[in-house]
Amino acid sequence: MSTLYDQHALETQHEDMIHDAQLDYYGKKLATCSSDRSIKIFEIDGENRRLVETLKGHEGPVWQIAWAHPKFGNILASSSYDSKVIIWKEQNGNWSKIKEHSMHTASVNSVAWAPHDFGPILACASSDGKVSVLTFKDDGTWDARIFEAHGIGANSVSWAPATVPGSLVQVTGGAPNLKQSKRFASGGCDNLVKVWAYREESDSWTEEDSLEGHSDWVRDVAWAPNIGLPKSYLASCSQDKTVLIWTQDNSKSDWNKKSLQPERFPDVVWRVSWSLSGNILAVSCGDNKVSLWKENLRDDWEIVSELTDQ
Amino acid sequence: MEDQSEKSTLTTTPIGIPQTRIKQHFSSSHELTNTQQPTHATTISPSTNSSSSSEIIYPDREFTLMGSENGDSSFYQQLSINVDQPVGNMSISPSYRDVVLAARKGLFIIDLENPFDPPRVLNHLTKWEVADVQWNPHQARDTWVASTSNQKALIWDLDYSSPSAVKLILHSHTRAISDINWHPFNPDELATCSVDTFVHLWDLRTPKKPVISFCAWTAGATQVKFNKQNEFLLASSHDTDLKIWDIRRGSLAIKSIKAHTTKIYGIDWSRKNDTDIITCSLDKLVKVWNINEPDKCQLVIETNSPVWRARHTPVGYGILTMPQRSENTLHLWNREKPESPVHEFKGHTDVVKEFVWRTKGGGDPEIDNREFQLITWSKDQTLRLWPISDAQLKSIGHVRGKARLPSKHRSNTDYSKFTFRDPPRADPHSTSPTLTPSAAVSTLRVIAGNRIIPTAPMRPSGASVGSATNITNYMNSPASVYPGRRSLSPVLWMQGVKMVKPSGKIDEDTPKDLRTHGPWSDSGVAFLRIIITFPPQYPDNTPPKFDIQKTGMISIMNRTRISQILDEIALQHVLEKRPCLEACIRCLLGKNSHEDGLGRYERDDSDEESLMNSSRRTSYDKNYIFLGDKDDHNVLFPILCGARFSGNGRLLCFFSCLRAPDVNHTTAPTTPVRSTASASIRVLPAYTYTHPRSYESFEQYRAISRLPQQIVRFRGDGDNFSLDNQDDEDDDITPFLYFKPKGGLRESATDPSNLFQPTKLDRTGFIIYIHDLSEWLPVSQKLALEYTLYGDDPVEICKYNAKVAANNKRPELEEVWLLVSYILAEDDPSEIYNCHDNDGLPILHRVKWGMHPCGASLVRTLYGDVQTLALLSCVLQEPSPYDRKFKWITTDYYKPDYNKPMMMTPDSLGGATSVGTDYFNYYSRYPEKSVQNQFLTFTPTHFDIYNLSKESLSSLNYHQHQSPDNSGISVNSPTPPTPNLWREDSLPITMPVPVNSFHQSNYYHQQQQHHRKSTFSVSHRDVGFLPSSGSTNASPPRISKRGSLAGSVMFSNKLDQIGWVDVDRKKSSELGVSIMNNFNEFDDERRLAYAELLYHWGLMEARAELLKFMNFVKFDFEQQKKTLEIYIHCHHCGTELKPNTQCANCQRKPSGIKCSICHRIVKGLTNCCVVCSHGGHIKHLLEWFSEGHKECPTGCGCMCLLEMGGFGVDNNANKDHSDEKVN
Repeated sequence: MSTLYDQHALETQHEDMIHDAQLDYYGKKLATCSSDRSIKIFEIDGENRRLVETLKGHEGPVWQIAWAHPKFGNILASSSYDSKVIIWKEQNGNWSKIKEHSMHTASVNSVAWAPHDFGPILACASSDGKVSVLTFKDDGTWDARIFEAHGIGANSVSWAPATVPGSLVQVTGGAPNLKQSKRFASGGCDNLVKVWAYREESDSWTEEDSLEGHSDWVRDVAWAPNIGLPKSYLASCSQDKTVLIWTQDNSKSDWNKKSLQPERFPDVVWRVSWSLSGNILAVSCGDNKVSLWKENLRDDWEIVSELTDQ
Repeated sequence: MEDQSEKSTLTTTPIGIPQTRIKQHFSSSHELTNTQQPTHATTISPSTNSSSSSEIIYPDREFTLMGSENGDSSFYQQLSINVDQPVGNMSISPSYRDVVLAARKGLFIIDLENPFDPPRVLNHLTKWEVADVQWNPHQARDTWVASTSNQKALIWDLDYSSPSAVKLILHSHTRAISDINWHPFNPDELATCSVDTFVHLWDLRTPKKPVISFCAWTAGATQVKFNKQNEFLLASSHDTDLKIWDIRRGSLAIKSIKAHTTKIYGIDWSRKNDTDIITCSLDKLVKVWNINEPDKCQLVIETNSPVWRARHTPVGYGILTMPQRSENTLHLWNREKPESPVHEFKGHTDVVKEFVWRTKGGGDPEIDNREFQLITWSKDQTLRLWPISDAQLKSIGHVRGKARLPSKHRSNTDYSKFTFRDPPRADPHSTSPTLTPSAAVSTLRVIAGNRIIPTAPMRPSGASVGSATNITNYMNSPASVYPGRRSLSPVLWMQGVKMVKPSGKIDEDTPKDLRTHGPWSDSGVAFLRIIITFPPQYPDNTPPKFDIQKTGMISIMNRTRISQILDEIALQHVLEKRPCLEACIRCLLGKNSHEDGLGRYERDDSDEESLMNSSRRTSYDKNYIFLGDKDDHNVLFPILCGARFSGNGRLLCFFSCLRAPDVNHTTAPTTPVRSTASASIRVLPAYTYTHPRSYESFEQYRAISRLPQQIVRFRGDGDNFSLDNQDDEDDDITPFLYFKPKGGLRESATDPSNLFQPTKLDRTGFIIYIHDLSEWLPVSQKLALEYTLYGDDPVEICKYNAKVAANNKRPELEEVWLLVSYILAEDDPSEIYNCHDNDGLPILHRVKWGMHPCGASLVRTLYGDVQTLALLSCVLQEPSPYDRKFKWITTDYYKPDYNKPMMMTPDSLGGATSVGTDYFNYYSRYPEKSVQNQFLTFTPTHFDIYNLSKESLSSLNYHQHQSPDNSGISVNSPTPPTPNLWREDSLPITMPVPVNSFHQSNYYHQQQQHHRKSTFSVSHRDVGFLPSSGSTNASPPRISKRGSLAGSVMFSNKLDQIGWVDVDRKKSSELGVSIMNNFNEFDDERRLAYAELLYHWGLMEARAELLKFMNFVKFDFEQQKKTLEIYIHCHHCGTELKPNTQCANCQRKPSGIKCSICHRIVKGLTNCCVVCSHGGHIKHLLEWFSEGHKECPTGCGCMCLLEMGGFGVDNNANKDHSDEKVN
């Protein structure tokens, strides 16, 4: 365990609790969302931080936000208790709503953009038990798929990276039968983590795997960015105070689960997040601590650092 | 007599109140106290006969709870009233009939006599938590209620309905008001105290400014209380000190008592004398002081928790203490027996915020027959009514019915027939507020009206024009506009009102009986008895026990099955903290357990369930708060603390600013949702809190978190107040977090039209911490910026990169790079460089590192540092950029036929390994030989054998390639990595196109052959192999030129190995293919991953450089060719046309573009601008633009020449994409 060096605090000027914060692709813009129903956008340039915009439009606490890949523009998706997902876009410095997705009937708990290689596709998980996938089409319309995912409520979605083992084809042509499938994982109140894959033949999302392991609501799932990893890693955390790491050698094989640590966490685990490289997992726990985990050479997970509120 | 002294002293007191007013005022109150008392009683009594509840009974001394004829009255009932509002405080009316609850939305007036009636709401939306609300205790002003709104005090007149009910605004404090106290003798006076350390005394007849002010200077005031016997004395608490003020003495405190070592939360004067005062404090002590002996504490009561309020009971020697946190129980103490409480009021599930006494009776001037009821308001959002029995009164030294002590002032507790819950009858706008007594109104109203008269002149008239306008502004200010929320539904309200039964009586003692019929019998009718035992923690993770009694009518198997099913259902439900009985019974009735169990999470208050398990249900309901119209039980409890990585290695963290459950105090207040289970948990020293699962518990959680925190950080800028003391923040004072602020309230607070000053009271603010973890990650943006992949010589590249690593203080990476540079340098390219074959062509003898243990295969076994690995895989990749320049020449070697003989080796792993072994054999066999040419390398994409023959040192170079992939995709070894078609980003393709195409075509040819062959049988290979003495089948001219194939030895050597390979050929071949495939792909994945990182860092050039090495591309199966297309639109209707068709709309044959110069339709070649779509004959346009025009000939203003990049002038370039032949 060691301490962290560089740390900068940013007063967000929110009027209520923050529920999510995310940097954009280049790490230049920060978006935060809060129970005060607003989203704030900051520009971050080294030491300088500037509040550029406060987005208002949700009628309830905003739970999660997600930046789209910059090649689609400065686009932010937000999900809220008001059962809406709003997609915001910046144009010439002005932010505006470009889409309000209100097909869900209960709080939308999570939003996530698909890897940019697939195009602008957004997945949302809602307490109405459904997961919806929005695809932005070239003609400016949105294609929305909504399907039952977790009976009582879906809590989280996370996309598989575009480059999963076995997804590449050689450049010089040949049979392009090795198709890359869009996949994402969702966690819900049925204590399950489910892996969904898009089936082109049926043009629908089908449940590929249903991972049992938690004994209480699954709060968050996170698919590791596949950088230098020999297999797919999926982390899930739950109300049952555990974090499970699921690994899969290729998209056909079974998932193996491993608990992050043998004992339970002191409190509910709220969120898991992978670093883009290095395979570090940040675990946020109800005891107000964030711990960083890394897999060692014996395939065990070790805590490498712990962050608390100063 | 009292009046005399008052007057005489008052004249000497410089408080600036016009004396006449005082006189008038006192005469009125005098009248009230002396003359009204009897008349009041008499006027009331006749009417009470008809009232169900207000009759005064003189029961025999043993009065029981339900025994009296007034059993229906709420006075004798333990009631619980749920008020789904963030209520700040509570007060009771002087008639003891109504209580007022003050919330941010306004006042809620509940008629305690009719608790099932929804409260009257006086709307007034404020963003400040109401710290205190006080009903004027005088009958004369019983319509007046004072409440706080941050630094202002609002005076309400309940005779008015909400928009105009706020009559006065007292504004003099500069910080939040913490307490209000009405003068016990003068109905128009009140005192306020604030954290700005001031105590202001107000006379409502001169509301513009306080009549007198006291200041403690040292610390903010928490409480102010008038002496109940001596009208000149008042006390206020400031931090640890208690100050006694005399209004005749002005600004200096007459007494200052250092009462506690920690902050004083509450004070209370004795009702019996003018010297005794109680203080209570954070230090868990309650102290009784005699103000004449400030150094000597009269009595100390030790409690278990910080004491928020401690007050005398209205009668006897009791002191009721209310803990500030960690306990939900009120304790009643007897001053005579301070060791232990004589009674406790237990039942709230959250901290109690306020209590008041409700009194009944007392009409008899001789004996004190008053009855009492305790009313408490708790953060669990319930109002509870606790009847006080005679036994309880006795325990505090009061016996009801004894002769009344001579009381100096009246205590009129006759029941009011009038409730303030009823909206005002008179429309305040039509009738004058200065009403005159009317004969028509009821007796009581007459009395009330009479008493209002004296107040009439002091209504905001000329004297307080300022206030009046203030009020107008106030009520019109956006913050106070009530947004027209749904009105309280009576049904919803009634749901919240419950009789509280003595706990645990029903379920534990009397088993409930439920008979059902179910399909469980094996044969005919069976009788089955199931005893269900509910543990106390149920339904919190503890399932009930099902005991199925043995019976001969049902088989054991069936019985165990039922038992299992029931257990499973129960467990499933209680894990969700949901009651399971209903589901179990449904199952027993033969319904599908699972569907029902899960489908029925809607909270239905079916009689069935509530009847069967009422106490359990109430305990369950405690956790349930209606929030809006939604059901929140399955909405996640919000994330309060989280961390998210961002692409560039920074970690964003935010932490809960609500008080996280204290590790050291895992006691009651932190466990609202598991209060039932907390008893067992409390003993554990470790952190045992579990955050609630769902959003429905959030309000509760937040309410708890509003309790004072251990560490409070106030930011002392601008209008903020700062408290340096720890653990002393008053949540009553501090409107800190509120749930549903209308968007941007705080922002609008800066609006000058708003009366409220912006006050930032965030505890720690809402802060995002950005941790830079890039040091922790193996990849580094800085290195990425400096690393290079560009160059002719991989060795140089490595050396350069090693230097970069060294400069960045990454010695380990420096070592890696140096090592690689050594490995690569072992084969000195410059030496071979000069070797030319007979044709003078350079012969490439560079070592290939594909399968060498120290080469690319080594890289493949490593994980982790994507950056280094991706770069290494590029450097070690065959061919390195070094080879590129020879591509043209070397490709000549590769005639497909030439490769035939060597076919078998590369296309299987067996072959590969055997060759590899072979290499080592050779190596050991010829140690004396120069190593440099003796490498045999196998890369996934090509296969080279450098063999040194014994006879001659001239080397023979076989370049063998083989498609490793069944999909038939191959990359030639000497070719550069095939230009990758990174479609998404359309990176520059670095390969000169002609070369590329040449290769491609060459390759496809080869590849097909290979592909076919690799799937062929061994025999085919053998054929290819056996003629080893020469390249039988169309041996390439080059090889013959170079001399005889001296590799025969080697080939024969290998024979046995090949035989071995053949045995397991098929399998190994597949394996080999897949592994090779993976290897190559794996390298590419790393490169892609690193490319992604580079993208994140914005290092596009480095990314492009890296992607040149890609062998594979991501297959974009949604790839849509988006190219510039030109459509033909009908001239007339504008619809899009297919080529050579008629317009469907107007049935005209499409004509070509009209030339914008000659205005004729173009029949031949046309050229048009893609921006303005004007164009015409190429010739015309060319002329036009070569004349020097830049803009469109039509005059549309389009700069066609620029838009098209040399439109007609450079005719050829544009022809490709903008010319279209029409007709």
